[in-house]
Amino acid sequence: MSIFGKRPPVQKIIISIIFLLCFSYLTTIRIGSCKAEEKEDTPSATKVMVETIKFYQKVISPAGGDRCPMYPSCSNYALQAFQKHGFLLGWMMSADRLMRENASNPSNYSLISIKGQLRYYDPLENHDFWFSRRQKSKEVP
Amino acid sequence: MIILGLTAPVLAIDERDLCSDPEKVFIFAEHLYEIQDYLNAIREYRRVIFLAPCHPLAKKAKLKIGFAYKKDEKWDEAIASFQKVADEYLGQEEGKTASFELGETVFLQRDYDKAIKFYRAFLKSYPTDEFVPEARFKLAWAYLYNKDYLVARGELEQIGPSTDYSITAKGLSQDIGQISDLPQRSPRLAGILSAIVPGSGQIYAGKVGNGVVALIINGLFIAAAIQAFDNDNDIWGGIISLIEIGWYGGNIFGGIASAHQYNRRIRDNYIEKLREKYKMEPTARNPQGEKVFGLAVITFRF
Repeated sequence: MSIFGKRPPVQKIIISIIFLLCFSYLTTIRIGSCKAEEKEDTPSATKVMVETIKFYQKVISPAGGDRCPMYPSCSNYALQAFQKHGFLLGWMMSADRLMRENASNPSNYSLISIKGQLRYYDPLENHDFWFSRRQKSKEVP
Repeated sequence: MIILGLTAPVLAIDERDLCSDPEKVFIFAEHLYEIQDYLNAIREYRRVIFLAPCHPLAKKAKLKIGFAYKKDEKWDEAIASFQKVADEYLGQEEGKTASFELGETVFLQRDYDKAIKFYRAFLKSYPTDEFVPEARFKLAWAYLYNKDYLVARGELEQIGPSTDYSITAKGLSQDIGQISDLPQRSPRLAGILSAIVPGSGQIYAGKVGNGVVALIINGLFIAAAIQAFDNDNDIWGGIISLIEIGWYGGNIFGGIASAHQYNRRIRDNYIEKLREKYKMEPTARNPQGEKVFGLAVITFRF
């Protein structure tokens, strides 16, 4: 079914990308809460992604089994990425992680034992250190 | 029976004396500390403080509680103890040692932000003390670990020429200056390369496997999208394109991140070599002020 009409495929891909970017922009606009006292900090698109990942972790992942060779698992990594950096960066970081999930460069990771199983340690901090503000320690004299 | 009856009260008095004499209790606490029974040592130090709060040993006991917690790797308790002594005996020997040990303790924890603040507080409170060069040297290392190279060099240059640390500080300062000459990968170039040919940025930054995977995944999804649009299946084409933009964005992000990671790894390896060269080990200072090297070794974070 053609909804773009008779256009070249590359043009259609570009239209799709523009559509996605517009969609992302619109959905990242903060939506005010119905309840005045309820603090609404998380943009809606991020919220949708976070809830989707939580649903995956709760329902789908237990059925599929424990397969991710990395720690934190890809879903946890994505969850952290969306919560920390929002929709677009969270999405990009999650996609980047999924492409690295096969650990094709094992020498880049240190091994960590989780519940008796060795995993590749690949925390979010190893990938956002160059743009994420360093956590400041608590006030001391 | 008569002899026993006569000696029993004397023995009892001796035992009471032992329990109530702060000096003897302190010696016993020191013994427990020596045999690394830190928790019981802390209890006995507290007994000294309770029995004779105004005795000179009470000050030492308070300080030793901090050392015992530190040895037992109870960092929060150690910091709280040292902080209390540093505040209570500001300007005195115990206060000075406690102030310095605050920096040492958090340095051992590799909390370099806090270490900087504590060493700075020490330098402010005791600007002419004999431990100032050492505090400044440690401060420089804390900045070095925090990647503040210029500030680290600045601290090293402030170490006077006639101290134990002057030659080491000069050499370290020169070595830090060479960090800018280390081979680097441009994150911007890596991002551009990944945008032109998916995966090439990762390959440029030395992650060949990641680059190949990124190239295959992006290639397959772009081909699938083109195929779908070619067959006038625009909905599928749109869905695949939407997924592909995620892979594509992730690929660019991965390229840039790989270059940053490469640069960080090179710098970290260099700093680790410096650490080995200068035998940078946190000094553990006993309450008498003697330095004991080699009690603990800082390993660098990767």
